[in-house]
Amino acid sequence: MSREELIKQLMPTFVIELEGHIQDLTDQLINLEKQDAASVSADNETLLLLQRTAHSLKGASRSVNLTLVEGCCHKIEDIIALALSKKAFSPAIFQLFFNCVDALEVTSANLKNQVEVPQAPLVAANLSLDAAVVALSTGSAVVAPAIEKRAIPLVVQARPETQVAPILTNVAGAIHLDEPASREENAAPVVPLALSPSSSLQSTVRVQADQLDRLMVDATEMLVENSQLTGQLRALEEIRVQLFNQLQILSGRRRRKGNFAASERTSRASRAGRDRFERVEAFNGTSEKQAGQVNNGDADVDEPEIEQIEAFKLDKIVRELDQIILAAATARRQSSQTIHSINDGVQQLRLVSFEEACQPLNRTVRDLAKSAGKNVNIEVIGGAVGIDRSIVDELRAPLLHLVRNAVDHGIEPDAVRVKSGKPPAIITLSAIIQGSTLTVSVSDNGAGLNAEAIREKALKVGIEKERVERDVHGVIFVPGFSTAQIITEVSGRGLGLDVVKSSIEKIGGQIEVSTETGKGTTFTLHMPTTLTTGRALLVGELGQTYALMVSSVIKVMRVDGDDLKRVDGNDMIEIDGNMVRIVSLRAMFGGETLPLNSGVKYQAILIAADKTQLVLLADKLLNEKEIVLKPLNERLRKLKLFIGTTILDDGTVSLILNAAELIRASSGNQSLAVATKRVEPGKKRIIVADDSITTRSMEKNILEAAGYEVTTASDGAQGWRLLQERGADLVVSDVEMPNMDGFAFAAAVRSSTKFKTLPFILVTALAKDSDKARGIEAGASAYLVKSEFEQDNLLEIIKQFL
Amino acid sequence: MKPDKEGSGRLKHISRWEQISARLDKLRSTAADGKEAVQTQAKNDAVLAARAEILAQSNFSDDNEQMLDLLVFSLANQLFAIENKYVREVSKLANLTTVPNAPKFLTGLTNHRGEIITVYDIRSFVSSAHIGLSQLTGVIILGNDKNEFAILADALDRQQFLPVSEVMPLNESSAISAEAKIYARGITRDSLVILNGQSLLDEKRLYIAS
Repeated sequence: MSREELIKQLMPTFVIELEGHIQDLTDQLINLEKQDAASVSADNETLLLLQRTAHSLKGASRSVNLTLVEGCCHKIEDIIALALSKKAFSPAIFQLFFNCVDALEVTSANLKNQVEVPQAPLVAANLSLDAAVVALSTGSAVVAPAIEKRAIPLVVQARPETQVAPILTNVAGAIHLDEPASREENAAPVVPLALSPSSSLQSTVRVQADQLDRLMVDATEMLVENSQLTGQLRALEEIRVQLFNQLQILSGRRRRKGNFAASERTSRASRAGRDRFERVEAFNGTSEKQAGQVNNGDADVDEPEIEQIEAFKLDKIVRELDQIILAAATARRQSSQTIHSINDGVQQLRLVSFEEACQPLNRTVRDLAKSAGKNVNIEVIGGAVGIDRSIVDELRAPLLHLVRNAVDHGIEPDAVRVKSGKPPAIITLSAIIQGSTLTVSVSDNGAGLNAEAIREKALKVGIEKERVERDVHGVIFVPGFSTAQIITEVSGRGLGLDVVKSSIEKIGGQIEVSTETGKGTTFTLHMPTTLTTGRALLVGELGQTYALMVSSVIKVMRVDGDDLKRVDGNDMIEIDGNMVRIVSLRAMFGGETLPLNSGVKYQAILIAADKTQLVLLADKLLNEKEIVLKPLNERLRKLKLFIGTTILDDGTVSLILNAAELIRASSGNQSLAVATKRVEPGKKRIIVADDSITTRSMEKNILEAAGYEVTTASDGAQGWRLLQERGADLVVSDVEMPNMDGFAFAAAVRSSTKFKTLPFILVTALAKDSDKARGIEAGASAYLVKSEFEQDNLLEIIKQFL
Repeated sequence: MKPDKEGSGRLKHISRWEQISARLDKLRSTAADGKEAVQTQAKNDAVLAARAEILAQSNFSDDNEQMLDLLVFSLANQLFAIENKYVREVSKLANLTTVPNAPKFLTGLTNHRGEIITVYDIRSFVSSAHIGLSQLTGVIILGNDKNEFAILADALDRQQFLPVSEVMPLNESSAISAEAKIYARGITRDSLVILNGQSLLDEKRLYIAS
């Protein structure tokens, strides 16, 4: 292998290492800078760490032939040694080092993107370090180049090119650099496996982030598959029970025959035997008495041996089945445990400590504060809180924006603070996890929001007065709102607070602001702890199951039809002293609203987003469960009502409701109020039989939206069975179906005594008159040709019969 | 008491056995699904080999003539074809979740072996005929290098190789609807409409607006 090839192979590893060193250098420098430069001595711990980092990087860069990086590190070491011996540490030296780190960052980003590394920043850094070495050796003061304002773009994905390379004019042998270096950062962080600080001795492994993502997808997939297995096992179990029952019947018959053999000689009357048999039946719990009547036939009596063999064989099969089911259930339980533990493990791997997530902000705050001539410290509370990578990624831009805002506008200039006797400026970042909610707050001890300025500007830009008065501080999140007093050029660029808000909402979170004049401002962000899994409440509506993340659910409650009040075209209900809008999910989905009866309690869900509550009525409240979230694909991303999908245990897809959007869109829906005299009739029940799932779903949707209760069958035989088992008020059936076609189904219905007069509608592709005649002959009450099918004519026809 | 009381009890037993047998069949087929995937691969290979053979025989008059590899399907009482290079997979619709408040042509979402696929009913795009009910049970998953979305078909008709020369350009007189013309790259003498897979993949309407 040639040297070049070797370097090429080493490079990816080196880049990861370099990124780590850069982060370490930054932290160490920030830390050092906080100390009195003059007093920094050889045994200063931070300095030791800094030396060690520079030394490691020197070795690593040598191995990949990056001589300029090696030079930087080498010179940093020299300067530290010189400064120590001459007791000449100064803030200028630290600034010089910061500049070097900037140059290293450019290098790192370019290496990562496999772009040609521009030499200019590194060359400049080397030269300025050289100059410092000369200055230190000759005893003159080290001059740090002027700070280039580090313009870190707000949106990570779209970084404008900015000039970073310091122009060294003050240094001996002034160098002019024509080429500005472009500075790019790559957003994807590499997650260290352990959350312990890097100084700990615990060994760690670095892994590519996307490998973790893939692992996560696989692990969650296994979870879903495992729960599907549970369902299949249950089905097997049912079959076993049925088999067992059949076997009991058979053995009952056998016993009867045994008795028969004994009693036959005396009497051929089957009465006694039948009674005994019926007792066996009752014992087995098979309620159908008719089952006994099977034995009245003579054929059974004629073939005792065959039956014995049959029963014996069956008995064996049942026992085998038992064993298989038992083994499968055990295996499933074990694999479920393993899968859960793998899943937990992967979740753990994906955690990034809050401390680490905040690290890039340290430098931002330092630079911004410096350039604004302010002294701002940053403090992290809950640094050890582990946050899922997916959330960290989504939090990065909003956090950066909030922190910038705080430095630029929240914190007053030092002079003002001193005058009003305020303590040193500090920005506090905190994180806490409660249940499945992560709460992150960014607070400053600055001037607080200026309500008067906001109000004035809000009214000027045309925001409703009522909205402003309701929550003046919340107005800062309204799109299009920006005031000179609130947003300056730096923070105003690209991303307003409305974008912060919507990016938090997009991940199912909420943001709120609280402020106290003269004391400071706090932005609080609530969000789920992960974007890949979460707890959800499953609700049934219009025959489908929807998921609602529990983070947006306040409680499940009961409401009475009498408590409804109609205010400004909305139904309202009083909850804990507040009037809250109430709406049915059905109405939100464009279905026919079913009025609430007075005196009847209805189950409802109180949800909240954006400081607003909403009572949501759903057809059915099902269970609460852990779900795996899958985002909507790009073709559906604009469907605001849903934030994603998940796959349910039965393998069907369930849409996840967007609470914030439900609340926004809930205004002005059909009234739920009961017309005083109207009594809600029991829902009419319809059986829909069609072998096409699309047609079935479509008819079901139409009928359910019109307020009918619908059961579907995939063929005539299933439809006929459902009808016999549960009954119905009407049947809508396709003609061409497997097993039992529509004609046969209609004929079966007509020939039964119970359903002789049941309305039966045939929907068919067969448009010929002869087909129609056949349908009528078979007993169809109406005949609807598919090519003429329309929602309205189906409903019209049904109305005629019900 | 029904007159046929004695007999119906027996029937009931038999039908219950049928139920059991049906359920066993269903379970068996679920279990076989995994196997099927492997078999499908083998089948595909076989199909490809057979196609290679046909092409090698060159029993077409024009040796170098370019062939279109087509999937022919029926939709709204008409035959359509789409180039197989846009077809990732075909299957039967096994489960469906409809999306409330979405345009009618967004039929819903289906779980296709763990992947959630959006299913569209493009009848209104390619046909001006009155749209009633149709079977819509066939699923054609389209995409270039990944599964993009699926369109529904009433039935999958056949695979077919068609010499490019047999594809006639569409003109005013072509007996197909104006709607279909947007997506059609041509038509054959026997009125088989060849859809342009790429224009379906690029169709803006399939990016559902809010």
